[in-house]
Amino acid sequence: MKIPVQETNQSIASQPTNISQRNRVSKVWLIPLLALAIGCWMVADTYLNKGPEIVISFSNAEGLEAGKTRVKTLNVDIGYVNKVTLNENRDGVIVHAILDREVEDMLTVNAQFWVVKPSIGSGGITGLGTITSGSYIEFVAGNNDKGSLVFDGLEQAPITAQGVPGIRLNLISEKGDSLSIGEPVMYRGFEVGRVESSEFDIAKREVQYQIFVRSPYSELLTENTYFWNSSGIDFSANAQGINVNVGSLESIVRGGVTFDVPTDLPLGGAIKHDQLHILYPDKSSVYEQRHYISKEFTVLFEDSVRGLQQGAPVEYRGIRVGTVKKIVSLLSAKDVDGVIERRIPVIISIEPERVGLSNEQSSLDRISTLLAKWTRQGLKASLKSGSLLTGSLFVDLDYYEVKSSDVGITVYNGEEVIPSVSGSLAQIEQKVFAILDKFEQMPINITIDSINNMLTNANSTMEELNEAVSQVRILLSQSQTQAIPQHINQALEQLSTTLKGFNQQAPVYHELEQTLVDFQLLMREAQPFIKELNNKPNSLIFESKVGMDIQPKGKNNE
Amino acid sequence: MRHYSEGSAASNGLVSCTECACLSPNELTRCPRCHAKLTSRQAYSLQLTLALLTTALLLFIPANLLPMMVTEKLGQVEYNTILGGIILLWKEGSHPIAVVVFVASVIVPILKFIILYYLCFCSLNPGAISAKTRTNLYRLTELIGRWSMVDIFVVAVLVALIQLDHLLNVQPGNGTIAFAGVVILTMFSAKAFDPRILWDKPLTRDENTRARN
Repeated sequence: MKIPVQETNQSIASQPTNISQRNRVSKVWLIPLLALAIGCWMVADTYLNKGPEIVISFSNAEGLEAGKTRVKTLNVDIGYVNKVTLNENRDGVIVHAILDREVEDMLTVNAQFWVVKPSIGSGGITGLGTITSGSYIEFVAGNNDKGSLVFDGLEQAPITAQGVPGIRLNLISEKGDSLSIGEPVMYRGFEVGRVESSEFDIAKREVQYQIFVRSPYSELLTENTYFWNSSGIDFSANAQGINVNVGSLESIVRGGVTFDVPTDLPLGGAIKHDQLHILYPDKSSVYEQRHYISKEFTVLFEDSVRGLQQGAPVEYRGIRVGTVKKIVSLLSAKDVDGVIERRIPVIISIEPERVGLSNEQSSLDRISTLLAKWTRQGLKASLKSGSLLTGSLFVDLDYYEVKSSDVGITVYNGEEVIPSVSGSLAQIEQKVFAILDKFEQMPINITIDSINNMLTNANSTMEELNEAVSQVRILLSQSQTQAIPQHINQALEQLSTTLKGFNQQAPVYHELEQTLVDFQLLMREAQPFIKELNNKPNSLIFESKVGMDIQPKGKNNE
Repeated sequence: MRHYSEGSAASNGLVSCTECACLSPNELTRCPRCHAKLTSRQAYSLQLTLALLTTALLLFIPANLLPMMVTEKLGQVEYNTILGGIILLWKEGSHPIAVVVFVASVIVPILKFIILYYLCFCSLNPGAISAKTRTNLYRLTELIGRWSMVDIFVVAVLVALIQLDHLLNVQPGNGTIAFAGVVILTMFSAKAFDPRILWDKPLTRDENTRARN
């Protein structure tokens, strides 16, 4: 290319001019070269500093958007979702994310990824910020050294961050209870951990929970630790009456697991991590249903077992010695004699530890021999009412009079049988029935009839009485009747005039007095005569002899 | 080396001032009227134009790939490239705006590249089209050149106006710098292009070799 240069002489323009030997290429070309160089460097830099691309699998891509969803750790932006695709089986999604180079060393085998989205749970509202900003993927580095680029995303945020010291334990519960993930694990009302997962085992038909107790509280867990569900309000009506257990307000709302060592047990050694622990439905069942070894016996009851529940206590004079295991409806089982058994077999378990024996296998034989001895001495089982309100029954063992017909322990269906007597409730029932029968036999109808008659009679009597009263009224209203009081008055006045004649001042009174004085005098004079006549009635005819006066005599004169 | 076209100032030993269009004898280095520097033909005009144009073209790549505008709407960050924004506008039904943005940000720069490259090509190989068309094309680049800056202005205005923290805010992306670079460089490139060479006739091959010797 030729560059026109300014010519120094006034030559004709059409003539080719002399060219001074100047650079044919301008320095200005450095600009695009520089731009290109910078561009290349930027591209290279981007490419070289490109962070790792990771693959996370999730069950669904809710809230995930390619190019927009960020990946964060501790809320620091460390990458973004690049691509969201279905997986091979089309039952999940695969999320490709590009992370920053500096977090490459955090991508280890057990790193955790989960989608943070707003959720309202019992633990409060979480992920509120994502309502406006959209979901993001949270990332927590693993504690493993081995690196990885393929991860399984968690469905929910992990309850406990990785690397927190503590103890993880597996609990099983036959009931679904109401524990959900994130609920607290309490020790005497103090939160020491969380429920991390809950899974239903279909094969075993029980729920498995994983709990995490963080350090240093994990030291509270010992061999004899028992776990129970402290969710909400526990209301139970059993042979012990009505039982209402109310936890703390938080546990009512949120539920939770409580653990402790029963007061009658030593702390024991360290807890076994790998072992499954039982989650009891409530605190009382820890004490009642603790895994005692037990020996099963059968009791055949004559009475109705209505009200007797599985798990009802077996007591000896108020001391719990066992549990009702099963109420058998095996009515068709035949007795030895071929007679159909009408009594209801109830299987009870006697727990040797409760009667003071050790919690060992050898105690089972011992309890067997002991019971055989006791039954010979008159120990019998009966159904007793634990609570009149709920009508629930329990099995009571007690000594009764030994009768000649008692057979001690027998065997029924291969089980040892403890003899039974009719329970007190049944006896009361019989008495009540007897009273009711008597009531029934009473001629109530006839009585009522006669009462009715009596009432009609009374009615007529009353009418007559009414009549009489009206007649009396007529009588009273007559003028003659009304004059009666006047007549009486007159009569009384006359009487008082008559009495005036006998007054002290009246002469009649004086005469009377004189007469009485005279009479008194006469009587005094007549007294010795009367006396004489008394002593000697014949003195009027015969003269009386006056005898010698009796002389006093001394002793020595005799 | 080239032939000055007939009737041109240079062929008559004159030089025209680019500032005030005053004709002076070509031995003068400064315009007697406005004292501007006089050159019959700008030195390295074509090279300068081509270099700047190429740089602009290089910048055009990141300008389109990098986000122009970073919008944070309720904490949700969105990165918009030029084409992405146009597609978004079109999808949302703002067709006229989409067309305006498309024309200003895509058509105009590309048209400018094509025209300037073509003019450079023409100055080396005249005869493809008439001198008049070339002149018109050159005028067109000058006319449309400034309009591609609209995009930058929009971003600048939005960034200045919309700053409601996380509720809603707009930040310029790296693409803005690249795009501004494209626009500025193409403008310089158009400026560097000395239109007078459009009318010159380049030497034939024989003349060229002769001139070298």
